[in-house]
Amino acid sequence: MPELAKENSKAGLEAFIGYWYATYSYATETGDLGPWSQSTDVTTVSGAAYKKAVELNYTKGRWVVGGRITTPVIEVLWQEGLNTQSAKVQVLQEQILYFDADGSSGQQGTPEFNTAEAVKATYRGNSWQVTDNGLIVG
Amino acid sequence: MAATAALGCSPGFADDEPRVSIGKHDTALDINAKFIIDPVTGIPSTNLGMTPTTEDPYQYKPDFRCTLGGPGAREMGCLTLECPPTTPDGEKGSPVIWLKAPKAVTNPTFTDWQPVDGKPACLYDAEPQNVLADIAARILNDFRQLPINPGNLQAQPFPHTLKGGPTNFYTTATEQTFDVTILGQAIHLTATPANHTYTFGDGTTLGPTPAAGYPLPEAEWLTTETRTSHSYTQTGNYPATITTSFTGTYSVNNGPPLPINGTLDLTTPATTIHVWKTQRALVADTCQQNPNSWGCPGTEPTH
Repeated sequence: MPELAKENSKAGLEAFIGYWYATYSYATETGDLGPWSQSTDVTTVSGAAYKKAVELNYTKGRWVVGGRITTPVIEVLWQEGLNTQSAKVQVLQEQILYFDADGSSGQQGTPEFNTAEAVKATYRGNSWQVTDNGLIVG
Repeated sequence: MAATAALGCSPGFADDEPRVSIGKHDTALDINAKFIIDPVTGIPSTNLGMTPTTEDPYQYKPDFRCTLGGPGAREMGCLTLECPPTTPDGEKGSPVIWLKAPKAVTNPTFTDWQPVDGKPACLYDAEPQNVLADIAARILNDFRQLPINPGNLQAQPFPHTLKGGPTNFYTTATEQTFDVTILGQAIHLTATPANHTYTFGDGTTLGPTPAAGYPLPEAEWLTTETRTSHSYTQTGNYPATITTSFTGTYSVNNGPPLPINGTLDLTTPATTIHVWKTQRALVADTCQQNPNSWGCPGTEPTH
């Protein structure tokens, strides 16, 4: 994790969020949830769901192609004195193809997406953790 | 099984659990992880409240690189987009690449918008960029000329109700679509009821509110209050109307729905609400014993 991403500040949170999406991109593309799990509260509903989505797609020899995530815009809405902070993020995800262990197509592909998400992160101990995340619909 | 447990490889789901999308957008939708931006604080909130979540979260802009004679017109990406003439002796059109980005972030990156049926969006005009701008300039006016149906104002009970109890009101206004031709292009318009102002006829009003109201079962008339009910305090005949503010979108030749910057307000013709009062009395006889007893059928109605 970049040093700045450990800082309890607006710039620190912005770096952390960029890093967090990169770890989920890595998890999506490889099935390795290690780095992502360290930065996420997986006891929350959204945390658990994102974790399960990766696990289900890498069990029984399954794998995926594509799904890289990038975040062209990260807008931290810093509020002084609060432990939990919010941000708006533009999330681009490439299209995804699914395969079973024998190389056959596992399920219908997912098209590429261009969306806005909200992230809530809490500073615990000496690092950030994402405590909620979802789509901005209005 | 025992070996797996010893390694600690126990995922939190059953062996035969069905596949899911690994797409981040799909996962969020599956668990209904949705936020709106609080209009006062600007902070994302999970309290969706009364925000109409059917509003389009995207903004769009046209890219003219594939227009005939344009910079990219001979590139493969453009050559595969066909805009055949729409009339036997007409001209070929120019493909427009529509781009989209979410509205919620500032300076977003735009990516290609995919037409629903895969056919490219086209413009049939010698000056495609100008025709799009010209349509944008006049579209609010065209929108306001559409024969949009304002719906009816309904009341329960109707036409007679009682003072002192909640009379339930609701509107039958619905979303409507229209297909017209503007400057030679096929335009698809939608008109959506967004806000309503209820005028009850006794000098009071409700709104503007997005609440369209809804019909109540008869058993709840005059006892159940709704967001759109009104209690009259005096007997009389009241002309009630509702004014509905319609918002709209327009799409050009199979393109994305673009917002129309303005509204059309329509008011329904007046419907007269007759407000009576109830009277209560203790009576000594039943109507069988004495058909002329107060309140029996065939006797004078109370006003």
